[in-house]
Amino acid sequence: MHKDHKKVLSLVVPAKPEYLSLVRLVVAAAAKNEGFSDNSIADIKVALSEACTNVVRHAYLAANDDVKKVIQVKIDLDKTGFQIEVLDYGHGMALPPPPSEGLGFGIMGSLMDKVDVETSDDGTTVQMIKKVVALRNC
Amino acid sequence: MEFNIETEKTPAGVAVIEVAGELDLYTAPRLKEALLSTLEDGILRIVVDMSGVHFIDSSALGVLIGGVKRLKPKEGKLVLVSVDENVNWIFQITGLNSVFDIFQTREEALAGVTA
Repeated sequence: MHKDHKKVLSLVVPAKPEYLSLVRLVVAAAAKNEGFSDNSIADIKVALSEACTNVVRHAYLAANDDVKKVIQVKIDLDKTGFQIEVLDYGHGMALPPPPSEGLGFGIMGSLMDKVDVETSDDGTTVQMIKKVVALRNC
Repeated sequence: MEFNIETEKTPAGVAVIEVAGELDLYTAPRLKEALLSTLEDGILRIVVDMSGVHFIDSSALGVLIGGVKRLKPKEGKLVLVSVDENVNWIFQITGLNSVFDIFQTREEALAGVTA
């Protein structure tokens, strides 16, 4: 399914709701290109959407005008799986996530094989991995 | 994919909100608007027909939960039509399939919402 060599894709969009479908489209195309099943791609799209939604809703609430209000999505493709990082440059977030974000993180955790969050005053990175063999396809 | 939402009222007084497209942070406010408008009209039986929805995330789930919460004290009912495997999977993993009555067809939903 996956090639041995590593591929990296990076996408930066404004942190606005109208850009979420574009991000999903690009990432879904990348996953499709790597041979992921339709079900796995659907899982990836929802998890990605949840991470991006959190950025749009929360990351830049207290940000100054000089902060770039963007969502950066990085995809690493290698033989271990499909790794997505969703980054923002906002003020960081509380861990564990507050209840208002709990459903989204719960969905991410259910759909992806691994979800990690790193946060600081300079921003937050949500890293998610979908392994080659998806839970639903076992 | 183009997003579309339309509301119609049946002779039995049920509102059917038909949604097509992707339900996310960008489009969920339009679903909320349609639900609130229906409630403002005093309609307490609502079918959200998502036969044409192939993507949903927590933004829209929150709107649907809000609709149920608003209807509950008034003894109203909100049911869903959803046929997409991936959409139904999201209801399943969130446990919301036990909160919502989910039907395969609009006819079944209309019967279910008035039962």
